Amino acid sequence: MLTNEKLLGIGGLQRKALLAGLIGCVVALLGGLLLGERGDKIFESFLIAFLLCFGLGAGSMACMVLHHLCGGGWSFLIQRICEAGSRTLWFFFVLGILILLGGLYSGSLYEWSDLAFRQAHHIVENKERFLNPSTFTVCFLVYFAIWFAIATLYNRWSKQLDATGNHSYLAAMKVCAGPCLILYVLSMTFAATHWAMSLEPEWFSTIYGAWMIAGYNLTVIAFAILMLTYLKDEPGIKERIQTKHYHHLGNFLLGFTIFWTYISFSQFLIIWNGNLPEEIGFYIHRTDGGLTTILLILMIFNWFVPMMVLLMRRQKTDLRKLRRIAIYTLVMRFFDMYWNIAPSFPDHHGKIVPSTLILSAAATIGIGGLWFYIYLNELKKRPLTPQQDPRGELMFYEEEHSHA
Amino acid sequence: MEARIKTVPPVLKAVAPLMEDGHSHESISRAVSDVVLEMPMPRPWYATISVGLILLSILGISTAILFWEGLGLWGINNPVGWGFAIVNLVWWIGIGHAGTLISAILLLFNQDWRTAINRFAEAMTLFAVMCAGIFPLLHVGRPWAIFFILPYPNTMALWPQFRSPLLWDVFAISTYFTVSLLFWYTGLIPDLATLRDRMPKGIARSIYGFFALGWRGSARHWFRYEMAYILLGGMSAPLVVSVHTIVSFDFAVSVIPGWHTTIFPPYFVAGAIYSGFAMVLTIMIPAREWFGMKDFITLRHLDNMAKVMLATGLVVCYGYGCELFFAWYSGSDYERTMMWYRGFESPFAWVYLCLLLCNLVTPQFLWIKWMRITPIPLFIISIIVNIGMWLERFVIVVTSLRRDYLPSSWGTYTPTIFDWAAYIGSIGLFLTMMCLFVKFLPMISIFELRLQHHLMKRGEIR
Repeated sequence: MLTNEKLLGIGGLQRKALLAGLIGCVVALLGGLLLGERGDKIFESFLIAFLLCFGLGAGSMACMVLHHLCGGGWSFLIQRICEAGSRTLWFFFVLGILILLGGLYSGSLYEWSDLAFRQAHHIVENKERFLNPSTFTVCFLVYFAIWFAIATLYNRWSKQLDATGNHSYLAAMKVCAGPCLILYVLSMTFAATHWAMSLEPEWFSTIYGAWMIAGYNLTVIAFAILMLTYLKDEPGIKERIQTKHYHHLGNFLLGFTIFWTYISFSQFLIIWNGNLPEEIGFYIHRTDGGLTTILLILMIFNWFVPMMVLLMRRQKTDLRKLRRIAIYTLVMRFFDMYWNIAPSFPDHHGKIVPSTLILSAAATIGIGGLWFYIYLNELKKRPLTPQQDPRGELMFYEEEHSHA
Repeated sequence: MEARIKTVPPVLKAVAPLMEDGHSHESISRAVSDVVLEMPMPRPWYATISVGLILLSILGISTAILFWEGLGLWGINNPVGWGFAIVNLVWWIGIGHAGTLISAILLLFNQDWRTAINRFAEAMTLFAVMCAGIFPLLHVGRPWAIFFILPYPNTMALWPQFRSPLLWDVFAISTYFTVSLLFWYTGLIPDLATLRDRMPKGIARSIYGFFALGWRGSARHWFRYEMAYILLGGMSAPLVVSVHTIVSFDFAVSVIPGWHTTIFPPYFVAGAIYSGFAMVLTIMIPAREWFGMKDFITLRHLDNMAKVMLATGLVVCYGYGCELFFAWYSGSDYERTMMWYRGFESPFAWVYLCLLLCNLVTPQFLWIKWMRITPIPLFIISIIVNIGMWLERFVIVVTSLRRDYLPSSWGTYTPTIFDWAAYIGSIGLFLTMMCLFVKFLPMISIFELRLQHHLMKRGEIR
């Protein structure tokens, strides 16, 4: 459990998060109403924020399951950090209804939601069985049903393991981890196709799902590093944490940074080289006008700089530096999501629309702030490390022997 | 601290230790180096090298005839200009991935179980890349002019096409081979010194001594060795990914339906690791039996390799799924027609179904622990995966090329006896090289096993 001192600190942090969240949401809503027509601006900016912050919930769940699949020592200390994140999926469900379904049925987000549009475009008409409002809604419910089931099962088992010390719960988590991750990857691929790729309904890319998943992994590892450095002096973590754990997490951040770049570059190179009319529009929309600047920012600051910094061991073992890189990664994630999503909107092709950029930043602060408030509430509910998980004890054993 | 847990609870326990009990540093050195120095080769070794040499002769004869008659002996023609040659190239390069992955990436991930299998897998990598290299060499038609692919100033004003991934292949594969060779050789130096020291005076001892580079095991030697090894590991890790990524670009940067798909790079890399691990298992399962290495290559190693194979197999299946779904989702008539043709209408539709059976269905058996730790079923699965991965490349290459955008240029492909001869001949080269490797070099890293034994005794690893 958290110490009293930390609880007080968290209380303050929660108030700030709530305040930032409310201000961000109000600014984004009012700005959207003033600047946009029929609320389009609101849906657009909130969609970018939703797709970015959703990575914290879904990514946490994936990281939690991955921990049980691999059983590595590196992830024991962030287990409860991820579990708490997975318990916030309901927040994204509510937001999804408001933003995704709201944007769909109001005709503000997805061009294909209009029957006349589908009939006028042969390629879109060809995929009408997937891109229509009913399928979108049913799939939305199915995706969340899968994620709720996984998050609920794992959180329940983890709680029961704490209470009883019965290792059969651990075995169950281990056995189910593989199938759960498969379900996660498949559902996330389809969700990414529905929610983001279909914003440009004639475009397609087979790697898109993996691209979103890679970005979410990056988000959650950066967030976990921030939380771990914040909670490092708390009972349960304090006795176990060593420099090597920061080093491992820094390595994972490096790994996912490279993986994200690898996926992004592969997609770019193949589409650019193919130069097919039905595909190349995606990159023309994102490289014309000022958007090249964002692309350059991403290339330099979301790949080259963090990669070079994280290659150095001392950057990963120095807490302050590692924390700084994690914050920096999260900021870059915003630019990545803006670059990925915003140019898909019809009046945003090939240009930066400053109002959307600012409003989506406000909406990100809004959704992120509210989410963080809920997240901290969830985090406080359980001890910061699993209580009867033998891996926690084995960390002491390994520690003793590595100094023997 | 005394009250704390000292033994691993059953739920977290591995299937077997990294090394069986009852060994000392001396017994480890003897067990591995005796295969080279003392032990007569077992009968299956003679049988394998005989088969290898016969197949190698087939390669030699068929290549000589091919040089004399020309590439018309192969089944390639318009529109399928890339037949068995590219299928075999991709297959062998894929197999060559496991070695450096085990050596470099598992080294960077601190995976202790790599120790007993890295040497073997690295050797396999080198031989697989050599086998792969045969095919582009033959496929260019005039192998004596192969140096034209290199960018050098010449009076004919020839300059390679740098925008072609085929040229990137040349650099990627040659770099990969060079670094893998260096990595393998660096790791061998301390063991070559062990062989030198255990060997009676003679030419063989001089040869081992020459290659041991005067290794004496001093602290300075070990310091430099460790530094070189980790640096080479760091250099090799991106190469593992880059090579098959570039091989996937050979197809993906074109505009042929079925080739031009963005999932290819990670899907090819996963497929390469999948087939590489399958080949390591295919070779290692009998080898540990024939050469008495079961104490060092335990069921834990088989279990872990099977898990890696399952994980990468699932990524490959994800790639198949994405190809299928997005061919439909694209709404493009060309993509949809190609996928329908591939699965149902093509004369090679049965090949596609077989590959799904091999690569999609078969690895699912690896969810069962018993299958992962029982050598014979695992061996059978590894063979099936090897076949499946070859079929995958065949389907990608042939079905997409047989029918492109222009119906008037549609055609067919039938491999000839010379195609088959080159393929099975390359397997002969691989088998021969593996047999020679086992005969003349320690198949497991002796000094790393000794270190592992030391750490196990101290309780640092289990």
